[in-house]
Amino acid sequence: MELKDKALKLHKDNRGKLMMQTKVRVNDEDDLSLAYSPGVAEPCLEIADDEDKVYDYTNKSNSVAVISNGSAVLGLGNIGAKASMPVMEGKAVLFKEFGGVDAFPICLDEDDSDLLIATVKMMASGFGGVNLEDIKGPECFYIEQRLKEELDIPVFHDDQHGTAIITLAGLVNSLQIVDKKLADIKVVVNGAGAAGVSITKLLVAEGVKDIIVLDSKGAIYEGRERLNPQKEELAKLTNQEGEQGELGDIIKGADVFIGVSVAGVLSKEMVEDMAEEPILFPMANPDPEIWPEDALAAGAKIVGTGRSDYPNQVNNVMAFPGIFRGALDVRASDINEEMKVAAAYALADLVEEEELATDYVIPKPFDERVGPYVAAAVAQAAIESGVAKIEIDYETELENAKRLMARGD
Amino acid sequence: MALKEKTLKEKALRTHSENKGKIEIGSKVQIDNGDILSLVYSPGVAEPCQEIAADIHKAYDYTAKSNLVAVVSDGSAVLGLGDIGPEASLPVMEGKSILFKKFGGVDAFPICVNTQDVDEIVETIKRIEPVFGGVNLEDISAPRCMEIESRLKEELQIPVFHDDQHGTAIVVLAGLINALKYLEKDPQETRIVVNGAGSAGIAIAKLLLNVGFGEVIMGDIFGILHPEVEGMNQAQTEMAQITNPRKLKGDLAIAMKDADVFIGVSAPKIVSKEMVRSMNNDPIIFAMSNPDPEIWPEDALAAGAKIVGTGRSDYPNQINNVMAFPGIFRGALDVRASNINKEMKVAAAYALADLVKEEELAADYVIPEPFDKRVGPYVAAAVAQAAIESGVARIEIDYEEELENAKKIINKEE
Repeated sequence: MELKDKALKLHKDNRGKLMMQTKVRVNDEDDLSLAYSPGVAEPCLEIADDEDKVYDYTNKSNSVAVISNGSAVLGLGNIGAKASMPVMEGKAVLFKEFGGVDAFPICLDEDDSDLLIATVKMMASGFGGVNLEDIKGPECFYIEQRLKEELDIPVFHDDQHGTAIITLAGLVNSLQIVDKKLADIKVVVNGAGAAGVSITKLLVAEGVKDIIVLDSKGAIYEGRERLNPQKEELAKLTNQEGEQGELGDIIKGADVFIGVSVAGVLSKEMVEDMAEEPILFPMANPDPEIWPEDALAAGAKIVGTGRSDYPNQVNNVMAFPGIFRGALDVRASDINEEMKVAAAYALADLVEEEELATDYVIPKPFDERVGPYVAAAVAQAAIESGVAKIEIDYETELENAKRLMARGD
Repeated sequence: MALKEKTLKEKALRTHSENKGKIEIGSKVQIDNGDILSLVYSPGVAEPCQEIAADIHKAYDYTAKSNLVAVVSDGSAVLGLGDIGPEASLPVMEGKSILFKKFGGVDAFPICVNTQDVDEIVETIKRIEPVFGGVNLEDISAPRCMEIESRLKEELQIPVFHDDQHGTAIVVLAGLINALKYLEKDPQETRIVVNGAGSAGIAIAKLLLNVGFGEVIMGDIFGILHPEVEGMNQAQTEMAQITNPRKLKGDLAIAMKDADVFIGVSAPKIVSKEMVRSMNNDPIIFAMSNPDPEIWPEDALAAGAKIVGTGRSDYPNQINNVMAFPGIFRGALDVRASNINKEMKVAAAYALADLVKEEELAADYVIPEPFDKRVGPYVAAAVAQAAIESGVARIEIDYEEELENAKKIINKEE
């Protein structure tokens, strides 16, 4: 059976992927009187008296809303809220299976950013966090920024930051192999959508000085006409020399290529034009900017893609479950840069020095250590950066996360 | 009593804090390797997305929508606690969610909205409609709840049900059907007093009028509803037009005189023994104020009441909504009903009533017990048929098939 038929069958046989479960018994009147009327009045009154107790008496402390309006779903584009549901349900079950997080899909039939924001704010009471998903740019930036400012629970746009975090992890390990430093390399980021913007900002924050971002019109530089606000910001942040031109020009001498664009845009010749021992992360899905075998044939040292059938897979499932696990466990009010960087280094550190190889710079998605180690690092970063409402030490959170994230239970 | 209450409080708080609430998300698919991952998520998940993009009804086949209900509240009228806000209402909504699962096999998720503005609530629910197969409104104060319900029923393609109104009404109707049968009274000839003209009382009165039961008189804190009474809200004004045919004026005592049935959704201890004595022969009392009824059953019986039901589990004939909403949504979801209409509510009431067999019928057994395993499936099957016959079902299924289907789904939760 082909992937298509298998995928449709799995969804149809199960009527979707998500269900509700109960954590308490309701087998007789006594159980009922505790879980529902009259006993349930007691936690209600406690929360009415002290709103923070909602974390003690309800599932809010482990609950994340997966929010989408279906405007940029996978590679399918704007297919609308209804058709986005399989992806959001899928995200929710990944949250559960990989992070022990109870995530619920909220597919919003709303294209207006302000109304979408208002709707999320209106429903936020029941959730401990918000994961934005598959919302098109540039609206996604505005929506994330405003929700971060206006909600007291963490907000995270996975399409932006998830990929960025794993890319940073892979890059850190790759540089160790080729013995180069972040501050010395030239990086070319092809694609200035949600992921491209976030990757660039994260790399700059981590000390990359020479970085140029390209969109479909070529290099982004200060003064280029008709740049949207995000690209304006990128122009200021990157491309100090104001280089102009196509990918073929800009790639010359680069140490690192990061692709979050479209299939096949990077040729073997371009790879040959790069600096020695080039590192490539062509992450267009499902077909990368250059196929790994071609890249390696043209001299690439390390190649990572979004695909599970090649080494060094950049898969967001290694980031968001652990990040939210850690953020929820310390009741973080935000998922800030410190927490993202901590997640990247925690991921990178899981590949031990003696294991490090050109085909193993990123852990594998089903590595059971990933979630708990990311969670523990993120929780510590939240505490140290002052956004945590409760404190827990690293080892305790590591054990806690291991217990909550154990799969197949 | 004080000790018992303390124990209940402590136990309830412990149950909630030990488990950090009562609900969690489950995955129907175990994701333990890359092959499964590629089906439940990228790239395979693109296939059901595209199918739904081409035909939105396929959301029922490929997503959890067909079994998902939103439990929506603004926390404005929670139990007897009043306006405690969305956060504090969450334990009740989570509780509702587990009752949906346990008694109906329905996946229900709480959505507590941080607004009490009717338009904002309606718009919010309209925007989240794609996810859900139905909407259960809960603990929203009157009269807004009625407006919110009627607007959502018009504007959504999925069934909307305000349980506080209709759940109680359906179980009361079931009890009344059997009580009148037991006492051999003609429903059309009965005088019924419904005291408490809030959303539940109005829904009860409307349902009774819809099925042609007797003469209905409504009362509230200001006395009998009558077109000349001042200070009534719009819903009460409307009810004053269609009830009270003898145009009685005055207080509850006047309403109760010669009545066959008293239905209370009002306040504790407002019915005296004298009022019961003034009723017609063999009076029926459903005193559902919570936790303390309008009159305690022993007092009502001492004053001559023949049949007494309350909201309490420690007395016979408990009127408990848990016998209505899970089966109603089970049936509505299974035929993809676009609405939960009058016909479906009436069918639910008769299905419930019929579960008490004629030879079992007794003064202390006119309503099935909440934990009777037959309740959910039989209500579901009757509701599904009523949906089909009244033209609101999008798929058809015969009665026996739905009965077996509902038994299978609900028993899985045992």
